[in-house]
Amino acid sequence: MRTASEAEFAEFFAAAWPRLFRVTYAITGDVGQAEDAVQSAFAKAYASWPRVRSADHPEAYVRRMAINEVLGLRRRSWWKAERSGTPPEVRAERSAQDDLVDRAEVWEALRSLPPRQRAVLVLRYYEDLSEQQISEVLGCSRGTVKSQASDALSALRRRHAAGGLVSERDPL
Amino acid sequence: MSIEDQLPRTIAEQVERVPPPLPDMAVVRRRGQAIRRRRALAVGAAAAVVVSGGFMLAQGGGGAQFRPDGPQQFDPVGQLDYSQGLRAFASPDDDGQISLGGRLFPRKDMSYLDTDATATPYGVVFFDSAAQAHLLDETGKDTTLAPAPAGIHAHFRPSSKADAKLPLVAFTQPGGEAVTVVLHDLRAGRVVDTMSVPCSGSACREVVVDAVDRGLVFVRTGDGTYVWDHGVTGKARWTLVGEGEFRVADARNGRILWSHVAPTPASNSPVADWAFTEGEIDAQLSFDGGHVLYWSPKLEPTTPDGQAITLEVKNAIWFTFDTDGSVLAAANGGPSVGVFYDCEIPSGSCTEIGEISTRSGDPMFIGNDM
Repeated sequence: MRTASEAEFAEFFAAAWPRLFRVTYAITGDVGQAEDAVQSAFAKAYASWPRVRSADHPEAYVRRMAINEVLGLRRRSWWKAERSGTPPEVRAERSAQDDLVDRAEVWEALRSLPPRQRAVLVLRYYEDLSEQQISEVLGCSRGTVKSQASDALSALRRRHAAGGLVSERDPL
Repeated sequence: MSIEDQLPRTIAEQVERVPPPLPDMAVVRRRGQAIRRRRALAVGAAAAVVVSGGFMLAQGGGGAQFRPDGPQQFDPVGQLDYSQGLRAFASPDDDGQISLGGRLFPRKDMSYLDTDATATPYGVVFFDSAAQAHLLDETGKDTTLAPAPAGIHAHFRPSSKADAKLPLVAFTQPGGEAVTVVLHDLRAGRVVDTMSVPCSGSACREVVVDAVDRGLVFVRTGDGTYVWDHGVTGKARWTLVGEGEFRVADARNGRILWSHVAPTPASNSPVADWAFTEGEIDAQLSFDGGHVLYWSPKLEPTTPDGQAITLEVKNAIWFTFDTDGSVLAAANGGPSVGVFYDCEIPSGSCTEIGEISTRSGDPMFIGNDM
């Protein structure tokens, strides 16, 4: 790689690394896995920098590579191992503290989803991508994104309801 | 507040608690340069090839360094019945149960069996804490499948896959600065051949057995996916199937289910004339390669003239193929209960085969990573 191009890549790498780490960490819930995935994606981007640089959105290009690295792991054990072994407690009344607990339980529930469903929710609700953009990242149809999101939200609602945190006034 | 309203703040809060590791440009540069060198080199069976992450590919034939000291032993569990498939599933609860070969065991007594294991018609292939491969056979006895690895590096993660028709299982074993892919004949009880894939550091994690079909082993590296044909010598012994992001989700009966990036098999590859079907990375092929199973009771055909198969099971969410080619399905059977079914192919008829507790998560299929 020529010096100017190398400097350009280094600048891109430094700027995009934290953001891509965060999104892959949100999917894996594991610092090591996220770091490995992002590092692999950047190594491939380095090897193909002219092509990556000429993309409309180079960071989105590398993000796609990093997420596919994560999903390519496929092995279930990495997400299975993260689950909480304790079922959520049932509470009768809500308070400000409950809201914090509530979010912690939503996070635990999110981590228990299959990796692809988790990726869909992270891209939709953390990265704020559209269904079309998510389908491009994951290399699947919009219909698949829609059904994965629906399945994932249903699973979260079931877990949420099982925790006794859903009030009648706030049906999910 | 709805789940949809909570998700953005929940994810942001949790993610921001973890500071990103410092970016290491030197590592990325080194790995990127290795990928470029790899592209510039011809893939040849006789030549050592540099692949990403510092890999060197060498030809097989017992390249692993094994240490001679004794393996870990597991107590016999008594006779099992694998005649209808392993029917291996488990509760996610620490105090839950594992069902295997028609019997139930406390999960804590068989903690070595998990979804990293591989279910085969001859038993469950699993790994001990030293990454040594074992077989729990139908007599309930544990047998080691290869000598104890010389040493396990921190980044190594064992993987294994079984052939649906032949009595073969392929698995990875650590060995010094290499990962050894071992092809084992479970019926004959012997190692057929080995392939050594030298690597270092975290790159060793990227050497993964993704599928075995017709005796061919599909091995993923950080650089691409290769097929290892132990039955030949020369250039056709180790050939490229797909580069970079290409993934083999499954391979059955001469059909490859692939994901992410289209395959680019070498012209001399033994799979060059196989059928290729695009699908999801966590989908599976039926043993005849005719249908795709993907988180649904409806199995889609892989050919335009094929007919979908719908399993006659209600509310099932989780699916996998059992070792006899039938489909295992699991459904929520009420609060904290998972109900399991064995579904015949192609009729789709299903029989309930058991229940387990699911207080702390989803039911698990032992020996399947779908």
